[in-house]
Amino acid sequence: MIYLYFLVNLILTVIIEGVLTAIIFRRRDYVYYSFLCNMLTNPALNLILLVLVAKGGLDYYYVALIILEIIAVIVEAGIWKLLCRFPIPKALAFSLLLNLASFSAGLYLYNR
Amino acid sequence: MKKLCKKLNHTLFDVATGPFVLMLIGIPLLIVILVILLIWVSIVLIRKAYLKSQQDGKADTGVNTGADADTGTGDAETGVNNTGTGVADTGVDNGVDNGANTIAGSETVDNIDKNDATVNKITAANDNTNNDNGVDNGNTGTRQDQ
Repeated sequence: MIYLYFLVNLILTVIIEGVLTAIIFRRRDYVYYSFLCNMLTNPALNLILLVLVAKGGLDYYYVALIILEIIAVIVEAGIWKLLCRFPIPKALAFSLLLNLASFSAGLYLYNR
Repeated sequence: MKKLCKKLNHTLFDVATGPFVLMLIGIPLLIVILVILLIWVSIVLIRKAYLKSQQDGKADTGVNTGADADTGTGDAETGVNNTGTGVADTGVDNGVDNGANTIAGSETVDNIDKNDATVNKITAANDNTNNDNGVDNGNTGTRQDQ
């Protein structure tokens, strides 16, 4: 079951961020970059979150989630800057937008 | 807990400890290994994509867009506006080996600077001396120096 949790999170994030990237930029290579960003950050984020919650309890869940999401935004912004030569503010804003969208979708789906 | 068999080199009990250990350690360990593998693969792919984007960037900047053409600031003799006429040096081999073959010629270069509307003429005389190596092949012909 825990495999399913990781897989569903990754697929959901890849789809939402990929679609959003395709809508904004209309470029296939940018959708691929979005997939690479998610493959790098999403499983690691979920694993660290799982370990932290298992050790510290559910009280730490949202704090840990927000801190890890901020780190993911920064890492993904770095990748966007590297691959697309975006300026730092644009890369940060775009990465924040994508992660906010996927985070909101995850919140909506899991709290339904 | 009942002993099932004692004749083997391990005593077997009727509890299934193997799957429990596997559930406790094996699956989290497998997930950690999978996540590390995913991170490694994504780093490799990101590096590949970065190198590809760099190559594409280099290819884009390699195209001459014409922006570097003459800006017309009129610096003298930059070589941009030169129209050069070179008079060809002609050397005629008469077939007689006299030990040394001397070729003389001249070159005229007109430098036209459009902004200053001045015409500079440079006349350069070229003296090319070709030392014969002593072997006469008997050819007669016309030779043009570059």
